[in-house]
Amino acid sequence: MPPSDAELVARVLSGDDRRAFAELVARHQSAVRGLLRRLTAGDAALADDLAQQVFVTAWRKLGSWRGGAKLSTWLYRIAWNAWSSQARRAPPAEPPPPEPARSTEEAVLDHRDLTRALGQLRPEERAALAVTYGQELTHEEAAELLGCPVGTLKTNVLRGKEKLRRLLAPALEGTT
Amino acid sequence: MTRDHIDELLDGEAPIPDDGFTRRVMEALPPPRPARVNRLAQWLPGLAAALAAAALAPDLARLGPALLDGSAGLGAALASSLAPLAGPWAIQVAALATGLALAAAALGSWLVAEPA
Repeated sequence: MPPSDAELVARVLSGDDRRAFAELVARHQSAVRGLLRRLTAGDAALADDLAQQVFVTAWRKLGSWRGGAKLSTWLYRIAWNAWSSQARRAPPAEPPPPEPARSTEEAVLDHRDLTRALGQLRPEERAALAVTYGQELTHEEAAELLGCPVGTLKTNVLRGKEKLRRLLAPALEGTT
Repeated sequence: MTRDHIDELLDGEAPIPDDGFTRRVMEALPPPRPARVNRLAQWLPGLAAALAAAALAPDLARLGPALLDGSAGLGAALASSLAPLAGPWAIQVAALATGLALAAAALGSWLVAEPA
């Protein structure tokens, strides 16, 4: 049975155990990078730079993780802070223009379409969708992470999904 | 139908493979500290506290009975405990002990803190 996150953290804190930390990074890298890719609207290079910062910060501050919350939630919070700082320093670039309509044969919906569409949402809508889907967070945890009321989070999720539905309608019709 | 597609799409992204990301993170971490420094860093805050306690112990010991006697006795004991500090030698010793304790505490904190 693999060691729990808490056991690995204890090994890092008690003995500067880098192998234990590498195991934690390997375990959580996909979720953290995935979250940041959504927040950056598919800018994988920027997302990975931020994800690296997240884990270096986690290494330095691992002693402040109390174990009450899941380690992944704690990492998401660091990721959200890193992304917020980045967004303040460098306002996001203009979203890419929508692609011309594809023929029925080409109209296959994939994750690149989703990423492009996410880039056209407002930042708060994109953030709400990014933390609500695929991260195993409850609405309460997601709202706390973003620092907004649960009602606001739900509103942004609904608006974001509605916009995605409109943006992806041509491709969605091609899949049905 | 559309709602299902959007939900599935948002929920169904494939995991990102570890394409050397973990290795890059490990390379970006600050270098490990020598074990000797780690041991020293563990002991220095305690040493600082011990030094400070040693510097204050004689005066504090005199306050013990006064605490039991009540506030009037405590005031008198405080006055008598602090009286030697009026002498130049006592001030120098107290200042030296305090300075050593503060320096040891600062060094300990610096060693415990990770480099930025």
